[in-house]
Amino acid sequence: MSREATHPALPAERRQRKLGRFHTPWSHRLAERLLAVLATTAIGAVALIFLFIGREALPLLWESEALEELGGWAGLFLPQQWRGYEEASFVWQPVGHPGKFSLVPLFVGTLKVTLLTMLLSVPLGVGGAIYVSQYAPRRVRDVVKPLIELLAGVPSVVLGFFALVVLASWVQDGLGLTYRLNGLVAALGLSLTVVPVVFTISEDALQTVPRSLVEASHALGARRYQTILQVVLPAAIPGIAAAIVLGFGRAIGETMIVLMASGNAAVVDLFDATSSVRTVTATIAAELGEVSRGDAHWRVLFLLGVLLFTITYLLNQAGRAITEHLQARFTGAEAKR
Amino acid sequence: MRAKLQAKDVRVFYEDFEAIKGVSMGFPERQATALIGPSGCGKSTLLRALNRMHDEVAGARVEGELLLDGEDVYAPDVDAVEVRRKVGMVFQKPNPFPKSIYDNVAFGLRIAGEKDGAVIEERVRSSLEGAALWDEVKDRLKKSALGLSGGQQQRLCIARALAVRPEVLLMDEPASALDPIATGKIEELIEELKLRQTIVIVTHSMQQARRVSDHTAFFYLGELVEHRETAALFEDPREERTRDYVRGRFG
Amino acid sequence: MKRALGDWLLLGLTGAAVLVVLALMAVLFGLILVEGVPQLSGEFLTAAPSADMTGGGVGPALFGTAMMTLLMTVAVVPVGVATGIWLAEYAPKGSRLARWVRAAVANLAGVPSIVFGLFGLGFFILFVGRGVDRLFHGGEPVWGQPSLLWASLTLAVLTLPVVIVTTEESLRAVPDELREAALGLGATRFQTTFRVVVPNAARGVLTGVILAIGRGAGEVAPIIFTGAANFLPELPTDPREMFMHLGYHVYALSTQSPNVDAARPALFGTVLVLMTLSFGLSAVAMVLRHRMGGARS
Repeated sequence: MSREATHPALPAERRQRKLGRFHTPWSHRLAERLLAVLATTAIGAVALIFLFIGREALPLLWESEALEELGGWAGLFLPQQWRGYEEASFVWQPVGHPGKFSLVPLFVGTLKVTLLTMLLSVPLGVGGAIYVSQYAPRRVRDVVKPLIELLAGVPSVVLGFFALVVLASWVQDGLGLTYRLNGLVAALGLSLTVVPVVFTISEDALQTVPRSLVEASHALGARRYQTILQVVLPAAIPGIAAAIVLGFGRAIGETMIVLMASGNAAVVDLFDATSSVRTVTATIAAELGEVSRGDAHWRVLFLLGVLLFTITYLLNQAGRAITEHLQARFTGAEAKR
Repeated sequence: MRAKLQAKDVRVFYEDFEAIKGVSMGFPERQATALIGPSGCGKSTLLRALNRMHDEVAGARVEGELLLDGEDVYAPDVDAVEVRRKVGMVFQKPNPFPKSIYDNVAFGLRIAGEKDGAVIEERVRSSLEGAALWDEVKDRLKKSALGLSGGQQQRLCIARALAVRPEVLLMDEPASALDPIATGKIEELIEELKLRQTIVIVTHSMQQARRVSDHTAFFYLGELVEHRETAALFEDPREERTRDYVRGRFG
Repeated sequence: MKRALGDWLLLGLTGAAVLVVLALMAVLFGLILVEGVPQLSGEFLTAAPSADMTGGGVGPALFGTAMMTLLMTVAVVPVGVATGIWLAEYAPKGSRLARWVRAAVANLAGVPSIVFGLFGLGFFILFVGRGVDRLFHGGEPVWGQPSLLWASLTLAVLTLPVVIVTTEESLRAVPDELREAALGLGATRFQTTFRVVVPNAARGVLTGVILAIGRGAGEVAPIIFTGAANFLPELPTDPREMFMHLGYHVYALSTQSPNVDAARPALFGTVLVLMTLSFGLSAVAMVLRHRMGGARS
């Protein structure tokens, strides 16, 4: 009583007296629980994505009617003999009579555009990273690095528009093509999203190679380029590999650029860069709006989504595994075993 | 006695800071010269000037003459890379490449353009023998160098430097990151190496300087204070600052 | 210093790589500015498209994008920031749940944007929306159709990893000494987190939120089936209505316009407005992040 008179109790002291001396207020504990619950949202999201895309696609497995319409699993994956075609072939033509649902041209298209993109992006991204990390004076690096990172913030629909309006004309005039839109134009557009990914991660990896290794190499009489190619680059390989795998995943999953710039005819020709291409992503985007729910065509488009999701998931896992494996090799974990 | 390396009024600048203030001294052939002095006295800076490592550092600049067998290695038409093939270097912390033991030792030969596998193999073996490491690693040459112990890694770095047959070997506190047993092995090795190479070693340990070197140079604040035969410098220093340092009054 | 042929070659090739990328960027930004700026006017920003979309403005699309981004932000920020805080401050060491959450976040970040579109359609519209309709509206499509609400929620899922990762990173950058100081003064864990750690990381968290908004505002693939409309001159008054979107408008103008050349000025104008919104925000976030890096280290 007398203590209260001279030193009024702080709110916390009053509260503690009520609840017992060493208890965190219940409201705090409740809030902390709430945080943990909200944190599970990400797990829930991944599960729901898989579940609800699967829900639209997987009835194919037991609805024999829908599957029949597609010509069975063979219709999806094997060459079919169609009227008007000389030999059995892979055709994606869902609105034809009968509908032709071979997934092969779509995956060949995606693979072609993605490989072309990587062929352009890896030299540009890794090359740029080497220049910026190894040759560029500090002042140049401080400007160039954020500038290229900025490219990653451009919406893909804008890059698709750029490919369509500008790059397509360059390619057409440069190569003397009849049609403006094709796999190469799409790949050029895609490179603009993939290069910043490859560049940024590679540059970080190159930057973290210890200075002591570089000095050791110089002291052995290595020239600058020998040091870069034989010491710095190999030491940064785990990071560069991760960069390339991530870039690959980005290219496979990108939609708007290919939708706008690839021409969208499902031609099966892996080696002709300037033929029109229809990718998995562009097919979903272009066709889903025109089919009704529950159709065989609808289910196939969701099946494409499931496959796309699975492929990018596996790529991410592979990327992580590659990085870990290479890192183990370079830190001597293997030698110690 | 012939000086393999002769510094004439060598100065090293970082931007405007003069880290080495006009050092002139000789490094006698096939002997070991120790550079000692308190931290920041410039001994490592001078060492790095001897094989033009400062060329790789933005803002660093070397003035004066440095004669290797009478030829100025800082002359305008001299290639720093050629200098480094003759003047090898071992660093303070072991810095093996993340490659196999074999590839580490073969590195210098390969970048110098050696393609003959038999020559490389022979040179890898003799260098590892020269660094007293052969018996410990001969069965695991293809394994990662990073799996070796610290002392073994440092001897590997010495073998790697020896493989290109340098005439001079610079060592920057080569044992400072090692335990006493590994240090002993490195010191024994220096005794052996002196038979064929000229050694310049920077050390913060006066005992080590006494054990391995024939000549010792004492540096203070970027200046060469005293440079004499090792025994004389330690037992009968002429300069007051040397005397204070070797008797442990500062540093 | 002297350079060997190999050095000139490597320097030339890698330098050329940088120049090619920078040149392409210069053309991209230059063209958008040169052809886009003359289109900008009060009328362009407020009017609805007219004359087969070759005339008029982007009013409804600008409004739709802004509303969508607002709804998305309201949905993603609490969940994303809470997850980031939990991961950085509360997740027990070696916790299995934390490992699962991190794996899920990494995965979510790698899911192609079109797959989010399928998800939005399959989950939000067909499952949740139709479910509500069956229960309360006798099956009439009130909720179970593409709308501003579902598009925003779809994008909230897409941008969730961005917010989580940046929040966790910026909280981890707060030195432990601050936490210990607060705990040492008798603060509870909760007080320490919300009165000391989070305010100190506020700038980083804000960066992540802006980054997510910039990203979400520019994505088109996920909203094609979940809410974006081709042409809808009326402004949406209810989140259950469809809406026009700047990015979708760019897509529609450049691929579906009956007269491409006539639509070109409107197209460039729209791209410029979209870039200002989406890319402008990303650029602001990057400047914030770099400033912060400079100040901290």
